[in-house]
Amino acid sequence: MRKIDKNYDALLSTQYKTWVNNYESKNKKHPESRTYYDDVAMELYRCQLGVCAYTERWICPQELYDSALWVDGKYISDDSAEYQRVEHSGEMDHYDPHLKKNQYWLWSNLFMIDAKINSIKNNNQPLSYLKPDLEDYTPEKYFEYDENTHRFIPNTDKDETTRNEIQYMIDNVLFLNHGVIRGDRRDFINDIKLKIRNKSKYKVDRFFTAVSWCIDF
Amino acid sequence: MKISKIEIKDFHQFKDFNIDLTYPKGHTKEGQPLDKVCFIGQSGTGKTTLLELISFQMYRQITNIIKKIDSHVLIQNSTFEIVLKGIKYKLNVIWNDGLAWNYDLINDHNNTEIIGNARSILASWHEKKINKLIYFPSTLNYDLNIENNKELFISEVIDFSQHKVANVWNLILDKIQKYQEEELQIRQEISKTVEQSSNNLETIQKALKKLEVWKNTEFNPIKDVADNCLDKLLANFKLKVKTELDIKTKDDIGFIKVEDYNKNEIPNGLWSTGTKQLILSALPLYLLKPKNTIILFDEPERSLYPDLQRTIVDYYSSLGVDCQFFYATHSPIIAASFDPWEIIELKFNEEGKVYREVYYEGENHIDNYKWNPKLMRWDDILQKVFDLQDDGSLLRREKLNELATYNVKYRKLEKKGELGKAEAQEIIKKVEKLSKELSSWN
Repeated sequence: MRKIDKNYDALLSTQYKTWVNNYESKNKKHPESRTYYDDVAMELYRCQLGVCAYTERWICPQELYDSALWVDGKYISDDSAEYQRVEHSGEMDHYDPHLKKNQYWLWSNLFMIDAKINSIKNNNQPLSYLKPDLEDYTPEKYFEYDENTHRFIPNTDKDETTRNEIQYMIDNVLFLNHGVIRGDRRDFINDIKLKIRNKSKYKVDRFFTAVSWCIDF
Repeated sequence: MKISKIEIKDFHQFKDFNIDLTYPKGHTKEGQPLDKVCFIGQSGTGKTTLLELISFQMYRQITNIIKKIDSHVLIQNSTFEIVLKGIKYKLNVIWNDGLAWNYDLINDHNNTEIIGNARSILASWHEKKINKLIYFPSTLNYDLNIENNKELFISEVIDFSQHKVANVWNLILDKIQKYQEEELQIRQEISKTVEQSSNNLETIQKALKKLEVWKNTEFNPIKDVADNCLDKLLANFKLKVKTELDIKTKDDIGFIKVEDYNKNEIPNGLWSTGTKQLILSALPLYLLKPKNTIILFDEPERSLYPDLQRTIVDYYSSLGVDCQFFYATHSPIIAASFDPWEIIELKFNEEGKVYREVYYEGENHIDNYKWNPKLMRWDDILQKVFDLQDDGSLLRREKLNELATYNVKYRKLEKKGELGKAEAQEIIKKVEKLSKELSSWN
């Protein structure tokens, strides 16, 4: 689970920003309308480089969050484009589900995650210190990776209680070792290794953390 | 007539639901309707509803689900694209003081000759007296007492959710009886010859030879079913079709008889559900010899052991000519008989609406598919296609986490140059033990 830079000041969706700021400044409940869904989703994909915020599985083509698609602070979908705005396999997750009720569109609480994971995660809340956009968050601090089983584990330097709570997150909330994800990650890493061995071209566009921990470039 | 697209605008769990049922780019049949389709997905996603919608939308057959739901809403929300002799039509059912099936030519042809030709092709298809759709529901009627109902099998739609499958035996009863009568007649001639010419060995041999030649040349309907359809399937149960029958009248024939390898007949009442399922699925297709037919199978894996499940889809395909098969299944083994573009995986989105999960990245081209169930291991299919979270029980997951932790700890000691320490030796022992317990963990 890589660190994500969600710089609020750099948002291209300025219309959304004005809209949500208005509610925040007046301490008013956010409406549930989906007017800015695409603005927020695509902006999140920009920050997340098109991968699931937790599992780092590739879920959105770059063409969908290209900065050229924002016009006058609004995300514009092009119906004639090769990729349509719905052609991604992510869903919006509220990191702290309790904030959903009043601050549904709060930027800092939102991440795009794999729809497969969202469907089984329900409203389980990840540990607050594992929030990937926290300033002091780094994956090394909390996780390690076993290249043989291709599983993430809690950092073995942590005390047992912390390791147990992180392990619970890995297995039941973040699903970092979900069978499908783990299999995809294993295949992706092995494929890159093969390409390096064969001196073929390769592109790392997903599973950034595990790849960087398994391969010396 | 084959279906190339299904659209449902708004009906219960379906909202703007749209599935393309054609071969992808790069395929030799690119753009043509798929020959076989496999619906998979969680219970409630609508696999059976789609099968039954096909039978109603295409041929007005009112099946169990259609009876129970507000079918007017469903069909008025549904549009099919169909292909007949290379011509594409859009099929809508319209309610206007009654239901009307409306076919529009796709491609916006202005050429009156083309339009006329398309209409006459469609009209001649509707006039054809052939089986256009066969439906095998998940719960087949296993009653093996046959009733005299030949009419059913000349109808446009054969719906086995409403009719006994065993009645299909009617299709060859006359042939069996004729065969038996002829055999009896030749045998009577032999008895007569033996009686009249008991000292003339050559005459007796000649009469016997006649029976042998007759048996070799005459079409034996039961032996045909045995050799070309059922025996290879029944071999899985160490059974075969009984071909030597002692029949006096047509009523004695009854349904197909099965025996073990020691020629002991197994009474119908003792057939296993797997045996019934297999016979009652394969036999109708073999006897009806479907051509240009849409064939619907709901949960064909029922009561079948995995080794049989892996063979049936290809086998059923071999029994039809230019047919389009639709399967709904929960079985990864059945799914492994399909190319990835033939699998329609139905999933719920955030709002509880159903969508199709596609297996390709980028353009719908055969080279862009992430995986191919035909090339995958069973456990891989379970995980990647059926989204199973773990590769075993919860205990196995705990043990795998343990193993991963020891591996990481060992590597850390290795980096520090501390493999000589007792701790490293202890870890090696634990890793070896866990690896043995877990078997095939990578």
